[in-house]
Amino acid sequence: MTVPSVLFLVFALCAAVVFNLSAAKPWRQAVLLVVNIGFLASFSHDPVAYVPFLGFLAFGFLAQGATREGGRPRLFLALVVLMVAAFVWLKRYSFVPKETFLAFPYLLIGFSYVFFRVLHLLIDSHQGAIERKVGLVSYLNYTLNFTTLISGPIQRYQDFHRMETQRLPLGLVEMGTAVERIIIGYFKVAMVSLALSMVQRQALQHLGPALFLPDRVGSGALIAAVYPVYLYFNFSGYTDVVIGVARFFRIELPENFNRPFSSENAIIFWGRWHMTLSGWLRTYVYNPLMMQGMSRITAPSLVRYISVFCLFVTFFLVGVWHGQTTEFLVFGLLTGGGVAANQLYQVTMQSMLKPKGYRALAANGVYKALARGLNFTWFAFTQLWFWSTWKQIADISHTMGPLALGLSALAIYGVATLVLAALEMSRPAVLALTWGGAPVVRSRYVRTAQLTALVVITAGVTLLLNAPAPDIVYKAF
Amino acid sequence: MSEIPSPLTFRDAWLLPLICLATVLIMLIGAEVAAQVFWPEEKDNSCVVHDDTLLGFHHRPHCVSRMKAAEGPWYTNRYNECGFRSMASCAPVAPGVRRIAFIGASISGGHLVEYEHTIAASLGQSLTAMCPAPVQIQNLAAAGYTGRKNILRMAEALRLHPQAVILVQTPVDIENQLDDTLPPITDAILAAPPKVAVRVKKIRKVGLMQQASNIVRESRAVVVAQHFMFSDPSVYSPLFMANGDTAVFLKPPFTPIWQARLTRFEELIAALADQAHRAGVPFVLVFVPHQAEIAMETGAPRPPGVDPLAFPRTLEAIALRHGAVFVDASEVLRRQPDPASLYYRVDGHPSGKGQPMIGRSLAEHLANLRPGPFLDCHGSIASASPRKSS
Repeated sequence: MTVPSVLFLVFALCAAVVFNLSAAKPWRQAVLLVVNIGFLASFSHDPVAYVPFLGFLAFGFLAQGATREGGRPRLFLALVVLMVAAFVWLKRYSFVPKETFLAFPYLLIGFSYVFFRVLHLLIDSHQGAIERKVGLVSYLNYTLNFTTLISGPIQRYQDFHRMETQRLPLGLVEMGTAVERIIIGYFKVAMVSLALSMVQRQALQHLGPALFLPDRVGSGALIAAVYPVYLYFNFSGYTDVVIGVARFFRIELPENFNRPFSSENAIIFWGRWHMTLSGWLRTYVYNPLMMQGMSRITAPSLVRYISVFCLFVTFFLVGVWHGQTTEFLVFGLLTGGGVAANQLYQVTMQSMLKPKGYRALAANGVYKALARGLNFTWFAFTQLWFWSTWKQIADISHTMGPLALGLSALAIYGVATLVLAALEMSRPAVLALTWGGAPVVRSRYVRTAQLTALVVITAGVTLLLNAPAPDIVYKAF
Repeated sequence: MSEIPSPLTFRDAWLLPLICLATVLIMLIGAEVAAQVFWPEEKDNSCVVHDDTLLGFHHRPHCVSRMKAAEGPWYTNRYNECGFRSMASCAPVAPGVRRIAFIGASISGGHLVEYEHTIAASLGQSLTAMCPAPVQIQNLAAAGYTGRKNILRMAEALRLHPQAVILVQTPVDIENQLDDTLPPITDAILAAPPKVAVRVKKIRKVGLMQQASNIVRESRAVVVAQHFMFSDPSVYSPLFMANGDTAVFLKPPFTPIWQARLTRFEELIAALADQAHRAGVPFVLVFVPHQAEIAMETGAPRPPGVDPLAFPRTLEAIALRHGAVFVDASEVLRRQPDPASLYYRVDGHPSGKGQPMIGRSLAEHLANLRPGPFLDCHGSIASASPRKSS
């Protein structure tokens, strides 16, 4: 089942109706379990395909139970290593010998996210951060939650469990807000990201060695710059939909995006982009690394550089986690390198300008606009290793030539700086618009009109995309 | 979105649904009005006169009409004293001037493009530039002249004493051989076709659902939306393949329905070739591919089993069996960098950019035809000196 899709929404609606028939916890847990298993079963009709997935889940459940509240520290460490190794092996990372892989096809839908959830449970359970023993039904509902299975967001077990026990209100207003979120999310995925992917595909098709330099620069800039925007609308749209859907199951999922392109540097950016992933890595990679580093390195001149190293490792993992090929290795190096370089720059500037001087510089409007543009350009550059292959990168580089490549980067930087600055300046003004003393944009009536418009556009385009293309039209007789 | 929303009031209960309804209406009506204003369309040819029991219609002699596809520019149709879309008179040509006659349906007739951009006119201009003497075009084709109606047009074309007769065909022409009501065409009919006014069928009253369906189908806003969506061949091609029987010609082996159509088409080609051969005139069959074929040939995802070349190969075999010259325009169109621009994306006819390419390519084919009526012409447009077109 594709998420989001009309089928998914109908499935979720039916499930939500049954889920809310009774307020009894066992009923809701049982319904959610059936729904989660039903959703998972929609991906393959071959029971064998589920064996590795379920094996991993069983391993996680037993492991967290065996090492609860500080018990068996060596076993805990061994289980963590084993869990990471199992993930890498099942995901078939390119550095793992192929001969060791399972020979039959198996399901890996949402496996990376399940891995994060299970590992988090194992660690938190061992550290005593989870007060009560995790029950099997609760464990399965948490790890297989159909709203977050495919691509997150990565919710903490503690938050999920709190909502299992406490009844979140679900009145008309809450449902309306959830529907609003679903409509906006669906529009982002089905319309905006579709249009952007078409633009990028056409720019790729258009790019050729015979084009004049300005045309090559324009096409190259479009190819590189459109993808991050497409990815934002695609992923944040998906997140909006699942947050809205989960609300009907009285679950409040964490946010994953917070206007990431308004960030002035890579560190802030990763705090606003795929927030639950970077938050997870901050908790389980960055913080422990920092603690270790601080305890081992005591020289004052070096302490400030520990964070540079820790950020590099953390965000290198962010990149590498996304895929199994060498392209993602480079994506990881660039992501980690970018964040580390950013931290190094901040440390250096603070020592040069003193904290007060650096704060004044960072608060300067022009500096912020230029920094925002640079951050976007860097992200678009790193994304080349995210969406393309080595062959595509080589083809594009060869077709464009060094001059056009350089000019494209400058064009992206210039346009991104201006557009993002304009958006940042206009946003408060738009939000401040009032009518009769009430805010216009956030008004219930304006939002209803906006959402209706989005529904009309989405329905119209979806209908057209599913209707056969017309043949030659004979109307002359 | 995170702030706590205020509770719904009684006013909201009626105002919110009203806002929804008003938004839907404003958007639908607004989009249609904007599309009608900015993408005007005129597809009724005021020069058409329904005066023929067999062909259905003719074009009024010395008539001028203006038409426009929603996706294209305004263009002018000019008909000569014989009612043919030609700049030249249909009277016997001056010594040395050669003449080519076009028969067929909409694409042969240069439907939806300005005369200079039609296949016929481009062919005439190119051959005139390539040959020592002018080459004149008489275009007897028109949208709707499909199937055996072409036998009647061939007889009329041969009376003009051309050096070649050209029939341009697309898969759609072969699918829609709209000649079921046509009686057997005898020599007597060919010698003197009856010209009697036909009664145009009055439009029957249609039901509400049918009316709604017609509104959607005829909606200009839909045309505009599709125009932009179809600019991406990877969007267009799968949608075209969803056309069922219409798209089956791309997937060999052909279904029995398509085989029957091809058999019927072969009978037509046999009859046309026989007419032309008896008059000692070369008969040329030009195949213009469907835009879906070109899209798939130039990078759009090709569904399993699709072979865009199978259909033109079949037509070529038919043409060769009956001594007709076959020219496949796919070859020139698939070489173009931006294939989507060669057709009106929604309407499907070749555009003012696609038709001249076919015309120029056809000129080179004819000039290289051995034996052929243009032996004294240069083999390519590039090597020819410019000459004023007839």
